[in-house]
Amino acid sequence: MPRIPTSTVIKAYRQNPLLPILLQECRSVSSAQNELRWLRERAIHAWKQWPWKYSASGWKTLLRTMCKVRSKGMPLQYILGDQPFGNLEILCEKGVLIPRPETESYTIHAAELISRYFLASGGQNEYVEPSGLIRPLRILDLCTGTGCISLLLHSLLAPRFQQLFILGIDISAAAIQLATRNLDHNLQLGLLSDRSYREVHFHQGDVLGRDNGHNPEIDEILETYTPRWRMSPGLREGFDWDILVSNPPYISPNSLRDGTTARSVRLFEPELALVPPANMNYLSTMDYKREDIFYHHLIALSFKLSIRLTVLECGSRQQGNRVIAICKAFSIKLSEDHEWTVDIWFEGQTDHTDNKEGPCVIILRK
Amino acid sequence: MLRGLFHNGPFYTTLALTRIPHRWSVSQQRVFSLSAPAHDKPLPPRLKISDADLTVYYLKGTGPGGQKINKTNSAVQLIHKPTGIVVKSQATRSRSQNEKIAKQLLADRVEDLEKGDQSRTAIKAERAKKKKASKLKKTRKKYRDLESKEGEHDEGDEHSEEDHTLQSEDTVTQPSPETKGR
Repeated sequence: MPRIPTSTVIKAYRQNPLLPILLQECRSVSSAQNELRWLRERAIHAWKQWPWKYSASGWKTLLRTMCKVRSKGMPLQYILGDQPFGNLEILCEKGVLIPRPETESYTIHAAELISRYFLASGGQNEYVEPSGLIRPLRILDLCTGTGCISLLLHSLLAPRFQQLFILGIDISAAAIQLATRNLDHNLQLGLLSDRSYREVHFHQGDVLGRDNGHNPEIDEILETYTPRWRMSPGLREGFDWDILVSNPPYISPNSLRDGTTARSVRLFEPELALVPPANMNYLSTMDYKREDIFYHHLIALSFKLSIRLTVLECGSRQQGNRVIAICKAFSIKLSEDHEWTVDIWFEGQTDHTDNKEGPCVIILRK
Repeated sequence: MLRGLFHNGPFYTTLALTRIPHRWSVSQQRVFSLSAPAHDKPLPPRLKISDADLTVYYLKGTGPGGQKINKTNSAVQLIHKPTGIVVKSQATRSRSQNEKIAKQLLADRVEDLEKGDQSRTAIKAERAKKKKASKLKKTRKKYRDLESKEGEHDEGDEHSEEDHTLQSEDTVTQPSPETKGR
């Protein structure tokens, strides 16, 4: 990390004595100024709302402590307690990954893809199966975390589809609790339609399907969320999910330590949400990369449930290409005659701006 | 039959009863000012810029993003292709909100360029200027009246005082167009 010149620090101090404290983490004056503005707004707001809590000290002391905590690397979203995500306000808490802006733009892109893909005969706003049956569009969001993708998808798709069913699954109990709170919070703020209360669900479960007793396997959960009228045999195999979206942990243990991962992320965000677990017993038999473990499982699930649209976030272009290779390998193994295509999409693709390092999404269509 | 009576009869009459006095009261209402309130002319509608003319950049610094880094920078930069105007907004933490703000800023700028004096912002600035000038005029008048009332006892100073205020009026109104311009 390059040193900040003393002249910059002095200049910042003249503007506001709190700026040098924030500079320790923000590294640039303009972002420190922005963060100070947001922190100040929140401090004044908190002080006005609960004057008895801070009456002795006033909002200035509160602001100073906020800045000090921030300078130690605590993410701004954990201090403020929320993060805007699309038009929603997602609550953030220690122990759950903070929604990233890239995920936001991928979710918006995914919502557009879904409407284009499932509303082929324009004008209708309900999903009609090829057999002529009208039923809700069913979306599975694995590793949901704060529930941000599920909630934003509902907010974006609700005007276009009359019926939706979205299920978010995460291994962490804290995440499931927070996701449920986020649903309530955005309902209260009026950012989500009343339907979301019926149509969005969160459930604890393990995507990797490890047998560790207290977490149910994903198949069991999917079975419980399969509608009754579907259970009758002969209709279709699988559990009738249309879309699978996921932002799984995708950082390799090396890159968590080698300096490419920000200090604030490494120290304050849960490793569970960043790095896939190590103790997988089949690791020795196959040439798995540890950061790709989740994709093997997600793609297997996507083929097994014959999901029509799968959207997976990947950490980099190289990882994206590896995931495409996994898809190809899997389809050869299955030797199914289903036609499928796989695409890579990244932010700024339409403008041809080259961001080779940023994350991307893999879109699998069947 | 009974239901019909119940539905139409009593309710209808009560409605009618409540309505008539209400109308009377309206017609008898007294208004303090006799002239109709003078509303400003509606502003020209906001210019709509089509998305095809825009290039949107999410400014977030260099390096990898995603889970590895937790950026708080949500700045949005818009470039209007036909005119080349660049607008940036980092007012809020929300990207979509910033984009909205930037689009509005850009629409104002483009309109300024196209219509000049007739643009929305120019008209608004002009109105604000006029309002301020009339307000200043009123305050000056008020103090002049007060002073002249006091000064009725010794009339000698009155004329010189008036000259002074006239001079100050010029100095106040002159710089306002530059400061209000943007």
